[in-house]
Parts: sequence; structure tokens; C-alpha cells
Amino acid sequence: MRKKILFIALALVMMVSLSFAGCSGSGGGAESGGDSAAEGTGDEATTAAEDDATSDTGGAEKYKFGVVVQAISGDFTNSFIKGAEDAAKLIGCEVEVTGPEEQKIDQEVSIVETMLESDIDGIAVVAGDKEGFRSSVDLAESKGIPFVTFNMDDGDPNDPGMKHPGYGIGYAGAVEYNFAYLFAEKFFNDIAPDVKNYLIATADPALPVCVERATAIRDVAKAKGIKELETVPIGYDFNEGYSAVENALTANPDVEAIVGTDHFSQSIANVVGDQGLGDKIKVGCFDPLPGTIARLETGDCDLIADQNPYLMAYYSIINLYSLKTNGSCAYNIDTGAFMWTQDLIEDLKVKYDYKG
Amino acid sequence: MSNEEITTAEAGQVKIKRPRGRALRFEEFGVLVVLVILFIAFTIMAPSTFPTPANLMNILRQITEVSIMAIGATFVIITAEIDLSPGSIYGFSGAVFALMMAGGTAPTLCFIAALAIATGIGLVSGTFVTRIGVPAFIITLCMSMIFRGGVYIATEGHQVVGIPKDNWPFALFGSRLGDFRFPSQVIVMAALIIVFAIILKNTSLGFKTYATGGNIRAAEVSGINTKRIKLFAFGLAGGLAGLAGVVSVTYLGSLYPTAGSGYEMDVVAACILGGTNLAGGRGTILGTLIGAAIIGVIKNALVLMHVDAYFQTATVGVVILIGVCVDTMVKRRGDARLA
Repeated sequence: MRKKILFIALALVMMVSLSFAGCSGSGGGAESGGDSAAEGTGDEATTAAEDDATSDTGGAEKYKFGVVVQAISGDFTNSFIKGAEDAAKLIGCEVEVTGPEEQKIDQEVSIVETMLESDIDGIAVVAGDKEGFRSSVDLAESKGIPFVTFNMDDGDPNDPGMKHPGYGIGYAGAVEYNFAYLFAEKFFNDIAPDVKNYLIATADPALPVCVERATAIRDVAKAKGIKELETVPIGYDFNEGYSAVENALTANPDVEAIVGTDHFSQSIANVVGDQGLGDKIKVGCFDPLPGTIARLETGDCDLIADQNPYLMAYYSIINLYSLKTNGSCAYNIDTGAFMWTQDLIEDLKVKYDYKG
Repeated sequence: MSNEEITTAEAGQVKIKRPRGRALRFEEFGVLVVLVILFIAFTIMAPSTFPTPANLMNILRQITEVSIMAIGATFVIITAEIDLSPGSIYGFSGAVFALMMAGGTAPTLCFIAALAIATGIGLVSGTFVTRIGVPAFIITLCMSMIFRGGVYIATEGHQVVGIPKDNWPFALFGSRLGDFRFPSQVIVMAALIIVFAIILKNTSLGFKTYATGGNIRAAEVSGINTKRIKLFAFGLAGGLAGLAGVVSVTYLGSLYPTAGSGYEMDVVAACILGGTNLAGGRGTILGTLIGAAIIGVIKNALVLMHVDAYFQTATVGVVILIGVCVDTMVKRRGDARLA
């Protein structure tokens, strides 16, 4: 009996802790920024889409689409959720968004396979490794479930028109190499035209998408005769990234520019800003996270590459719907690349509902 | 303290010897040798960058959060238990602190709330272990998952920014002092190290902690409430993980939902490398600090020596392995000499 009472008491303590934090999150007034309407969790996305589907479809068949992202948390993912949710509302279907806690291909593949065994009518996947997802594509094909990809496509940089030959069934997002190439061109031509050397800071130097982006950056720099001092692994944690960038600056005191390959590159701007090196070192980051926007505003970051994550998920749902209703879809939707500089900060803040 | 130091006397009485008050014990000596060797080696290999005051200051700051968490973990491991939740508690209490601060709550209240929740989580884990008998490995793993999810729920997956910085927690934990820009959090870490090293080495509580892990049956027979000692250890580990989370938020000025993910491995590695015995009954706070310093020094030096990114993780693993081997050999030699 005592044990039962103890169990109940402990469960209550945990529930109170979680609800306390939950209240802080919703009512605390934190300015989380992110995509303009990037609010809510995957569950909320599903619910909202369901509600709207009931009112809009007028009795037509209601499809249920799965969306698997590379990591379930973060502002980037919230933009995906919002894009998928809005598209679902538009066409009157359900969406379920999920993904691994951290960016791990094997875990993502497992989630995709599990989802393919459920009652979904189509699946959109952030596929950061072409070979890694091939078995998933085969499984989807055997079950007749449309499989489209978005955000990441791991392809051959010398073949930008055929980024995902293994899928061949629709991709929405930037062409990684081309996108990073544009970013690097903007950075080395306009932002840092006189630098002699630079560092690359990457969350994972072995992740295919990071490798491809780094390759594009190197190609641009090499063509301009700018020397790469080294590649710095900064991991998936801002504290760890901060330390890595600090060490890299100590090792390379004469570095003139640092460019990132992913949204953890915010760590570069954090260190450069905190050390008062904003005038000395030019910084290029990926993805307008709230913290990165703040650093662009203060001049600690000079360029942010925006991949339009909202549109990627949005068009993926449209693609799936098109495959279900017409048997075809857009093969390659380039959601474009936008380069944010400090003079565009006000527009950026409006787009991402950033209040500081 | 080794098991040999707890001896059963005649007539059913249990006599527990206190550890001798040497300034430097063999646990620490072995791992200190490793740190000194690494320091000399890296100074030779990167003379212009590694031994500079600025870089050494960087290393100290970089090991602060892990060291603070590892203090609590050392207590837990000495009691022959394990805690796999510090990374998630770090993230969760950091989220609570960041969200409340961003919401305009008084800094003191935010700080107390974050630490109270973190300590509470630790105590819940400890209660499950001591009262219900759930293995610590399982319950702390569950807690880790529950509160990692809690971070996502609380932050709704967003990076938390807009945290006001003109307040005492930021001044105490997240500022840089003087012309040297000395990180204030290092002072906090040093204070905690000193306080808990004294507690572990010179107080009745520390003595009972060793006794609980060294030979739980002998400790209980001698009247030590081992359940309470373990509960304290888990509560302390939770509270210090929460403090580390707050320190991180004050330093970075923001919180990302993945904050602290995977830190439990660094924490456990620091403890073990520092000579803490996973089987319990052995370990010191100073040893743990040296263990954390070794990991920090290796990570730092590999970058300074321009080691290729692909080789860095493997190199850290190899050096830690060598370090543990050297430490074990030194300890064996020391134990043999004592015998």
C-alpha cells in the first residue's frame, strides 16, 4: 500500500514539474521567434489540419500524410510543421509530423519504416543520405505509398540537375550544392571580398548534406584563391559549438572569415560577438534562428542563408496530394535561397516574427 | 576509500576506518600524472597557442558545466549508483530558467525554481532507487527521456531568446571579469569544487557516502542510513545539473531545445577518468575535476594542433583509454605498496 501511495506521489511530482515548465513556455512570454506562424508541436499540426479538413473537403476522400524530419525540435523544424500544416489545410488532409530527437540517419530510417507500416497515404521525408533511405523508398514502392523528399538531398555536386536519382518522385527544397554555392559567392564576393583565409564550421563534418555544402564553399573560395585554414566540428549543441569556435580562434588568430554549413553555425556569431571581433572577422551563418537574427542585427553575423523551410514542407504535401490524385508531381521544386544581410534586418524580423 | 578500509571487528561490531588525510591520494595522483603529461606534450606540440593564459582560461570555462555536473555524479557513483539524467536535467532546468526570465519573472525566483525543479527530479530518481528498488540505470534513463521531452514541450521546439541580462544570475554566472575577461562561472565552479571536496573528504556525510558505496551491508550494520545518503546524492546530482543548465543559459544568453543532450557521457567519463570507481566506494572531487580537465584539454589541443575533424573524436577516445590505463597502473602500484 505504501508503495502504491509513493508511486502516485512521485507521478504527481513529475506531472507538476512538467506542467510548471509548460506553463512557463506558453505564458512566460518568451520571444521565440522562428517562422512567422511556427507555433505548436507536431500534434497540434495534426489536430489543426484535421479540423480544417473536416470543414473544407465536403465529403471528398481525406488523405493522411506522414512527414518525417531530420530532428523533431528546433525552429527550423517548426517551420516545416507550419508549412505542412498550412498545405494540409489548403487541400483538406491530415498530416502527422515526426522525427528523431537528434539528427541521426539510422533513427530517422526506422521512423520512416514504422510510419510506412501505418495507415498513411503518402510520406514526405528529409532524406540526408541517399543510400541510407533507399530501402525505405523500396518499401514505400512495394506498398504503393508515394514517397517524396524535401530539405536535404544528397547528390553529386557535378550533376545539379539529378540530385536524387534514387527517388525520382519529387523533391522540394534547395539544391544543396547550388544553394551553398550561391551563399559562398555572396559571402566571398560581397561580404568579405578581401579576406585571404577562412574557416568552415560544421555541425557534422561527415553528414552528407554538410559535406556537400562545405564542398561548394570550398569550390568558391578556391576559385578566388582564398585559403581554408581548417574545418571545425561544432556539434549539435550551442555550448559545445561555442567551445569549439573559441578553440578554433585560438588556433587560428589570423583568421579573417568563418562560414557555417548548418544552423548550429550560430555559435560562430556568438563567439565572434562576445569577443568583440565583429569588425575583424566576417561571419556567414545558415538559417535564421532567433539567436542568429539577433547576431545579424548587432553586426556579429554578416550573412544568413535562408532555405525557406516553410515552403519545402508545404510543397511536399502538395506533391503527395498530386501523386495521390493525379499520379504525378513536380520532380524538383527549388524553393530558392535568400541571403539576409544587415540592411535587410527589418524585413527578416517581419518574415520570422522576430521581436528580440 | 577502498573496501579494505571498512573492516569487521570481532563480536559482530563494525569498525569503519576513516581515510587517511594525505594531501594527494593515489586516485588523484595517477590521473594527475596523465594531465601533466598531456599538458607538457601539447605545450611542445603547440607552443604558441596551447600554454597561453587566454587559452588556459578558455579550457577552464569550457569544462565548467561538465565539472559542476560531475561533482554530483561523483557522489552518486561513490554510492555505487549511476545517474544518466544530468544532460536532460541541465536542459530542462535551463529551459525553466530561460522561459521564466524571458517572461519577466524576478531573476531570484527563476533561479530558485530552476534549481528546485532540478533537485526535485534528482530526489524523485533517488526515491525510486532507494524506496522502490528500481535500478538507477533504468530510472535515470527514464527521467532523462521524460525531461528531454519536457524541454521540447516547454520551449515548443523554439530557441529561447530575449532573456534580460542585466541581473545578478548573469553577473554571477555569465560575465567576464577585468581586462583578462576572466569567466565568472569558473569562480563558481572552483567554489563548488572546494566545498564539495571538503564535504566528501572531511565530514561525516562524506564518510558515510564512501561507506555506503564501499560496503553497503557494513555501513547499514554500523548505523548509517544508506538510503538517505543515496537520496542526498541523487538530489545533489540533480541540483548541480540544474545549476549547470542555468550557468549555460547565462553564458550563451539563450537556450536551444537540444541543450545538454549527450552530456551524461562526458560527465560519467570525467568521473571515471578521475578515478571514481563505478562499483562504488572510491573517488574524489579533485580527481573528477582532473578527469574533466583532461577531456577539456584534449578537445582543445586537437583543434589547436589542426588535427583533421574526422580524427578528433577517435583521438579523444584513444587518449582517454590511455589515460585510464595509466591511471589504473599507477593505482595498482600504489595499492601494492600499501599492502
